[in-house]
Amino acid sequence: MVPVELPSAKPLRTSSSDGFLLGLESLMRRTGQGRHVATTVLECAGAPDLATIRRTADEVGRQYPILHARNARGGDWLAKWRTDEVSPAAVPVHVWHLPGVAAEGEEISSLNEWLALQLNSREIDIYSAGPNLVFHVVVNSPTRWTFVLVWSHSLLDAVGMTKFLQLLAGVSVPVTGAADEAPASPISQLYQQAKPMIEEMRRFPRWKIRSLHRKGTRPGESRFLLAKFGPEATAAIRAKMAQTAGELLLLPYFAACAARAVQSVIAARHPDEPVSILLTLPVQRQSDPAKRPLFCNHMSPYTVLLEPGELVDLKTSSKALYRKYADFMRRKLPAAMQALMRMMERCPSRFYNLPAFVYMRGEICSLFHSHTGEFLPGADSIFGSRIVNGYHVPSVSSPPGIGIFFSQHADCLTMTLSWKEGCLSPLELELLKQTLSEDLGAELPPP
Amino acid sequence: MEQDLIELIRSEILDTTEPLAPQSDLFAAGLDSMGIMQLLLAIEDRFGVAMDPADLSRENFSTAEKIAALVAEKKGTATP
Repeated sequence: MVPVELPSAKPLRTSSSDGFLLGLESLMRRTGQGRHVATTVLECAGAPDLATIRRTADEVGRQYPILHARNARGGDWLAKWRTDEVSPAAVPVHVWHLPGVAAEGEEISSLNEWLALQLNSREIDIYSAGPNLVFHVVVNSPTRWTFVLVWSHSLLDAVGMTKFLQLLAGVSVPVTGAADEAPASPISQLYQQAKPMIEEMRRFPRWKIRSLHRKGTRPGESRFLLAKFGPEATAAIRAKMAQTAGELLLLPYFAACAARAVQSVIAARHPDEPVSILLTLPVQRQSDPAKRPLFCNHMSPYTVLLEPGELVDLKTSSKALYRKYADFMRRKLPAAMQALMRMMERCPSRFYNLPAFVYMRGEICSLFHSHTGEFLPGADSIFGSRIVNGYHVPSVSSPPGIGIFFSQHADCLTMTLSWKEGCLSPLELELLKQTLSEDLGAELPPP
Repeated sequence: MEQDLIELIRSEILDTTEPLAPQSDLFAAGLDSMGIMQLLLAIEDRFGVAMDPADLSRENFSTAEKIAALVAEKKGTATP
């Protein structure tokens, strides 16, 4: 049972982090890249309990008006979820099955091809009233099924999705709804607070940042590749990490792997140029996970530049990333970034990336990356079925055209490569995979 | 130092009002990769100790007591 009801009497303002995500949504829509949609996949044992899934979809859909609300800017220019307009409705549930499986729903030929369709689907439209989250049940075999949630990244992030899944799985977690941020300080005051971040961003152009975005080419559909490492390969990867960066520095280590892989592709494209990498990493604003809200994005983008000399090997890159993180914190740049996002929140979403585009000649960053840690901690089953594996497959915008994401479930690491068609040739994809494989210290398993 | 560390971890890293004991399991209390990074930074700033990658093990960081012992060892102030 879902314990908290969000207020529906008045529109719910988006967080300043949502504003950043709305900027990416706007970029994708304006350039024909679809919607900023993510999918979360839970591979489950047994057969799905469709009655319970539908009942739960009905309950949560009625409990949380934000799941059906459109996003619109009001007279004060702030983007808001129009929870005041919503008629109570269930979260949609669609049922599918693989060939040869006698089950309810429509037949699909392959789970991954079908997932790619969902990633490129237009069913979720945050600017129109209707679902912002959809449940899918795919019956793979009589003893295996997959629960897939398709959601708008403007609505929530992986931390919120973890909480939402914990609720569905019956884990007792403290839940706060969406955070209603206090009114922003006057612009002049915000500008002073944001200044260190603005000055930091002014340093980036001299490094001629590139991503996998191909200028002059219209990005195509979202594509992805999953590498699901088994327990032995995961143990080998963790052993290499322990030797290289220590057992605990997950974030800088995997970010360094991702950065070096993208650098290898850019270096192959531009062999005569020194290649720097600008990473955008999500940093949760709330230290205590219990206080993180269920809906709305609430991270600050943490932007870190890796110069060519810092990308020479994995150990150097990991160390540099940690040092840059320390520098970022010591200079209080997270607060400056937060002030910058508050400054931007009344601007139209299409303005969000404008400063970065101008400063960096059409680029935002070199890649997106996250390691979301243990997938769904505290839950080993959902709707009565054991969870065999779980991971997220987000779509990415171009630029940068590439995202490399990691998560772990039950001692098995999963890596999701997500890119836009046109940003990676087949040969470049092989180079990316090879660099990742070498740095991780394990063969990439076949999809 | 142990008490300083406990207070630092409780209030700044875990951001919790729950009491922490020297032997409390910090990972069970919510210490994650980001928290470790913040903690390493705070240890550098407050105690002037930079950790080597080899020190960054789950075992060494499992309790405030063990972290305090490691910091003391690094500072050369560990009791024999």
